[in-house]
Amino acid sequence: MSRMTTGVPEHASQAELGEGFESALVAAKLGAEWAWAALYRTIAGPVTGFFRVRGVASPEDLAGDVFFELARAIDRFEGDEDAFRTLVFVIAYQRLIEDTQSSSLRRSRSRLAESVLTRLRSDPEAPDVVLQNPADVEEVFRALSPEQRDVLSLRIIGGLTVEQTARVVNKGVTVVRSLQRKGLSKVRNLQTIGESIS
Amino acid sequence: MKRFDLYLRSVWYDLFDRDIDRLIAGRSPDNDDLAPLVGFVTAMKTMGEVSIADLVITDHASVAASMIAARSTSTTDGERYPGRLFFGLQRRLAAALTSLMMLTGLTGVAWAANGAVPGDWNYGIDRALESMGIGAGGARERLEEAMALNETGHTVQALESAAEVLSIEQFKDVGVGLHHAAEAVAKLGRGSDNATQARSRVSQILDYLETHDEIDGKVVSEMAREITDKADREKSNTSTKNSKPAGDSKNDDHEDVEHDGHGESES
Repeated sequence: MSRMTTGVPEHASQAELGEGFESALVAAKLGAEWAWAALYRTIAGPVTGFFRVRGVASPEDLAGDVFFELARAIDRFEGDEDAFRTLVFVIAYQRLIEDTQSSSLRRSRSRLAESVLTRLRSDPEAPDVVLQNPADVEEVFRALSPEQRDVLSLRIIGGLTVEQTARVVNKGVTVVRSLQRKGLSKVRNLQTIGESIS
Repeated sequence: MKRFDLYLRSVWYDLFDRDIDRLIAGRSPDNDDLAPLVGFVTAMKTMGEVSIADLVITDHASVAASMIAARSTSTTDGERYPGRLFFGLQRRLAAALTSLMMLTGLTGVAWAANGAVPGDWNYGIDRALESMGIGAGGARERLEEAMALNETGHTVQALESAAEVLSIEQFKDVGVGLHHAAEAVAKLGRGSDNATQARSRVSQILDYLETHDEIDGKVVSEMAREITDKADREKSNTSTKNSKPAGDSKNDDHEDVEHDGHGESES
């Protein structure tokens, strides 16, 4: 039986305010700048990463748009931090769809691949099972169906649960589970093919 | 037998799904089938790890706080959409659209002043938020946000908000013009004379949108173009100055000074 660690801490990309969330939310609704900074700090990384993995040309700009849209919706929002995160990704997902439809998606593959390679090389705990070329990861990811990419990027990058992901993509939990099973299965098959070719 | 097969399959799926959750959470999967995916998930997480500069965070937080302030000043007595401005703007835009429809022969245009319409960039977001029981606001709020943002020195964001007010199909070109103006202003030096002038010009645009019963797209486009042209000229002058020999940069220093404590966002 295989026993490996992924080399990435659990919820590495998922900063949380925890007990401070409620007070930050109340203060944010009242327009407190510190509260917005605190909220933004927890979501900016994952949202930007989500856009980046999806090949958005200016992920930082789009993440800013999500944040401003959030400011517009915040006074109608009631819920805990998980619900807040779901709301953030509902907005992010819709922005991604809009961005894709306006055909402004431009891929920055080489830059992304290079940065990943550098980070993996500098991480002493990086797993052995690594992709010789991170561009292959992107290639494999692109081979998935759009729905599989949606689900896997929200789960892995966004740090959402299956239930939260289902809410964001407006599908049932069973469908989301099926999409992630099929998506990961496809990734595994593609990797196997890649290994046999190389 | 078939039912038993289905049962076995569902049990297997449950176990497999739990293992997928472990894999995605960064823990070791028990199932050997998932082991080859550890590298993929790790690489995906590494791709998604992005650190955002504090300056960007504080700037965005400042804009968000200004937007909330704009909303709170326009919302009184617990009413959601009170006031002359909301109904006034709704009426004015409806009148403008009616005029356009009469002129162009267009019919069947759905306009919701309290939300985006099909074709708007944020229509999908509005629909998604509505599905969560959260309305996203409409033209009145966008215009008030734009005014508040401009007053607090966030001219770029003010122009973007104004562009959203006019993002309906009929004013599409005007919206594009405002976006161009926003891009041009974003390149201006912080607190420069031209940034202050741009802010004043944006005020005029917003006043025009607020006070006119019938919006003439050409007027707004022209004002937006003036802002863009002037900002572009300033930018090219600055580039020329910067290319001068060292020792001639005395007058450039003031461009890094914040204006009233607020600078233009260049993020």
